[in-house]
Amino acid sequence: MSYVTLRTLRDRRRSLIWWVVGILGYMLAIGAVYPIVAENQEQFEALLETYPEGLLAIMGVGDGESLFDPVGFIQAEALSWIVPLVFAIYGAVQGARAVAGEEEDGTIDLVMATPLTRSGLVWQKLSALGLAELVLGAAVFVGVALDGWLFEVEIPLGNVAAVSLMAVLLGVFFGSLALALGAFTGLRGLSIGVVTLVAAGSYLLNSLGGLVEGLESLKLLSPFYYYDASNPLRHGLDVQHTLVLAGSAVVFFGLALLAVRRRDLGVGGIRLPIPRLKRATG
Amino acid sequence: MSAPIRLSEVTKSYGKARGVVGLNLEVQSGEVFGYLGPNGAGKTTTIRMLVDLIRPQSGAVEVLGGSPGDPAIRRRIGYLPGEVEFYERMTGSDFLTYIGNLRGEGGAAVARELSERIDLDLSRRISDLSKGNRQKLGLVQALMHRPELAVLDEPTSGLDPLVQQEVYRLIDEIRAEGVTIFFSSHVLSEVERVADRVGIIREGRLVEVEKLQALRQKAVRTFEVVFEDAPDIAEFESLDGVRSASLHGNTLHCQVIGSIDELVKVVAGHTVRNLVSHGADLEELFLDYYRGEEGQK
Repeated sequence: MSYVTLRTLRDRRRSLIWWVVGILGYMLAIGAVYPIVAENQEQFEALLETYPEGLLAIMGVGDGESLFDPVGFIQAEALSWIVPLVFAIYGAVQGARAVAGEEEDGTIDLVMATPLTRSGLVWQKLSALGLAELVLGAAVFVGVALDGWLFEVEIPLGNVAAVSLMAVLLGVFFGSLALALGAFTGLRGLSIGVVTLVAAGSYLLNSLGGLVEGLESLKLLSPFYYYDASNPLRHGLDVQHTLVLAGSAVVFFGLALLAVRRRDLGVGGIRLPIPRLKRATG
Repeated sequence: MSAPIRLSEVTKSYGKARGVVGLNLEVQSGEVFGYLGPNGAGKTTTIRMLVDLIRPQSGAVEVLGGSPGDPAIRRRIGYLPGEVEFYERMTGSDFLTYIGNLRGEGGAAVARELSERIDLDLSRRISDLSKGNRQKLGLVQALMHRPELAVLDEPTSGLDPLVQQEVYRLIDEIRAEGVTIFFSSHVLSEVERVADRVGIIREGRLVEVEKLQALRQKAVRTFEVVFEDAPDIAEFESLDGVRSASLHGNTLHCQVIGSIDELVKVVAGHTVRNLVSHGADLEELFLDYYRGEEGQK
C-alpha cells in the first residue's frame, strides 16, 4: 500500500541511475589512481608538507590519517568529502521536492483529494527518500569493496557496510530536514537553498572546527562529525553517532508531520502564526 | 439523508482580499449546483475546502455527512481542480491507475469506458496531451470511482466549444445517475445550461442562491431593434421591466429585466428590419446585485 513511495521512486529512477553510475565511476577512478600515488609516496609526502593544515582538513586529510594506505586513501579521497556531500545534496533536493515540490507543481491537489492521509503522504515520501539514499549507499558499498579487491587489501565488508550506512543516514538527515522545511513553508527552492547552505556550513564547521582553538566543541553540532568522526571504515559502526543521525531524522520527520497535518496545501508562502488584524470596513 | 454539502458561517482568508466570508450554503442530494462568480471571487477557495486541501478559519464544512478531513469521506468525492496538474511523464492510464490505487479501488473499467466515449487516448504521455485532453483526463479521474459527489472547479474553462459540449453531456449523464454535482463557473450561459440551482459569489460573499428560473427573471437582457420607421420612444419607456431605452435614428437600444413579453408585443406592432438580443450578461447581473447592495447601505 505504498503507492506514493513507489511512484516517487519510479519518477526518480533515471536520475538515481546516473548518481549511482557517478559514484561507482568515482570510486573506480580512485582505485586506478592509488597505485600511482603509492609508488610516488615520497614526492607526494613532500608536496603535502607544503599544504596549509586548513586545506588538508577540508580535503579530509588529517587526524593522523595516512594517504598512503588504501583505507586512508579512500577515506581522504572519497569518504571524507565527496561522498557525504553527494548524499547531503541529494537528500536536500529530494526532501524539498517531496512535499513542497508537489505543492508547487500542483500535483498535490489530485493526490490529496484521495483518501490518502497527510501523515501517510509524509511517511511515504520519507520512505522513498530513505530507499533512494540506500541505493546510493549500495553504490558506495560496491565501489569501496571493488577498490579493496583492486588494491588487494582486506577491508572488512562490515566496515564498508558501516561507512555506507553512515552516508545513507547523513543523506536522510539532510533529506528529512529539507522535507520538514518544505512542509512548513511549501517552498521547494527555499528549502533546497537553506538546507544546502546548512550542509556546506556544517561541513566546514566539522573539517575546520578542529583547527581553531575554542571551536573544537562546535564540531559536535555538525552532522558530518557524526558521519565520520569515528572513522567507520577503519573501526566499524559507532552506535552513538549512528543514533544521533537517525534520531535527528526522526525529529525532523515528526516536525514535517506536524506541519503538513496542520497547514493549507498548495497555497505557497510562509504562514506565520501571527493573529490577523481585522481590516477596517466601511 | 443529510445535505451532501453544508457550509455554515465559513470564513477563510489568505493574502489580501482573497477568500470567503461568512459563507452559508447547502446543496441538496442529486442536484446540480452552479457556483457562479467572476475570477477571484472565492470559488476555488470554497472548492478546495470541500476536499480538505485548505481549512476554514472559522465555521464548519460538512461534506457527505462528515468532515472532508476524513479519508472515508474523500473516497466518495470526485474532484477536478481548477488548474489540473498531472505527473507529466506518466501516461494517462498510468495516472488513472495511480489515483485508483490511492483510492483503494481501481475503477479501471469505468475509466476505460469513459475515456473511450469522450475520445481520450490513455496510452499517450500526459505531457503530449492538449489542454482539452488534459481536462478530459481530469474529469475521468474525478468520475471513475463513481463518486456520490462531484466537485468540479471550472470544468469547461479554456476548452473549445466541442469539448465543452462533451463535458455538459457528461455532467448530464452523471446527474441522471443521481450524483450530486457542485461546479463553478464564471459563465452564466453555462450555468443556465447545466445547473438546477445557482449560488452567486462576489468578493468572497455569497450574494444569492436561487433557482435558475428565478435568476432568469432577474437577469438583464439587452435588445437592439432596427425599425423601418423610427417609433416613439415613449412607447417603450413606459413598459414594465424596460430600462434605459434610447433611440438612435431607427435603432432602439434597451435593457429588460425579467419577462420580455411586453416588449416583444409592442415591437411587433412596427415593421422590424432587425432584432439582436444579448443573453443575460453575468457582468451585468453582478452589476445589478452590486447596485442593489449599495442601495441598501
